[in-house]
Amino acid sequence: MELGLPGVVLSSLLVAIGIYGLLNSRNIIRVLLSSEIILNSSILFIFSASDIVGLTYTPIVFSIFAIGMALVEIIVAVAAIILYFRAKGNLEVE
Amino acid sequence: MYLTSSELEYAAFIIFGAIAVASAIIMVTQKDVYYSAIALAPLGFSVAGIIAVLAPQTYGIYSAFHILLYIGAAVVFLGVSLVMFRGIFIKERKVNWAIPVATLSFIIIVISLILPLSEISYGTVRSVSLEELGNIILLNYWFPIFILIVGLVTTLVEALALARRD
Repeated sequence: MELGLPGVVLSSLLVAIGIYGLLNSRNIIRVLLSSEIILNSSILFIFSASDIVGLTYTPIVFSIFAIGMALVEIIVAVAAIILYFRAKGNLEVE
Repeated sequence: MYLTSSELEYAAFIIFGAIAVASAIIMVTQKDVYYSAIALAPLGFSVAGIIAVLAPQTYGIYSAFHILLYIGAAVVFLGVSLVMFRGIFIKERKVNWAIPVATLSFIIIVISLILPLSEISYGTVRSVSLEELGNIILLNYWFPIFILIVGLVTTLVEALALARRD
């Protein structure tokens, strides 16, 4: 199936939505969620490009590491958000 | 009238792509932070579905990882943690140039990625065996696995320190 190029276009669209979310909000949670959109789009891009090029194991291995580190990042970010909320009383960043 | 497998794959790609874009838009426009975080789950599901549709015999195994690890752990953790912020509404910054910048970045990314990739003829990917994948990860990539384990243990310690609260 030649769905690699449409996958690349879709991942670019998701990156654009994530950039819009990063620029348009002062809320710390939305900043985290926008970066998660960009992470998902980058994983989609890795697989779409690998489908075009013909790589079998490389995208799987790299994406497993990326997802593991994303899990660590989310836990650390949520802890930081909770501490920020305790200190400031809101979730807005200037 | 029956659809061929190729047409079914195209249809699945379009449906998953529409769900992904819709949930991403909900995430960046929803006022309530809790519902904004919950919208990450359909985005993750649809990305896993698209990856499976690309090459089911090859990348299907990663789709299972994505659903188990990302949605089953990360998104559920995010949703459970953000329950306490339910009802807190997001103040928009109203940046007038956000949409033009996002559109411009989309155009630049598409041009810079599509042009080189469209000149490459499609390669063939082969079926993946779980045993071979495990051997590759443990033998060739043992150091990144070690770093990942250290990171996960560190977050466990951090969660314990946060839960003590003093």
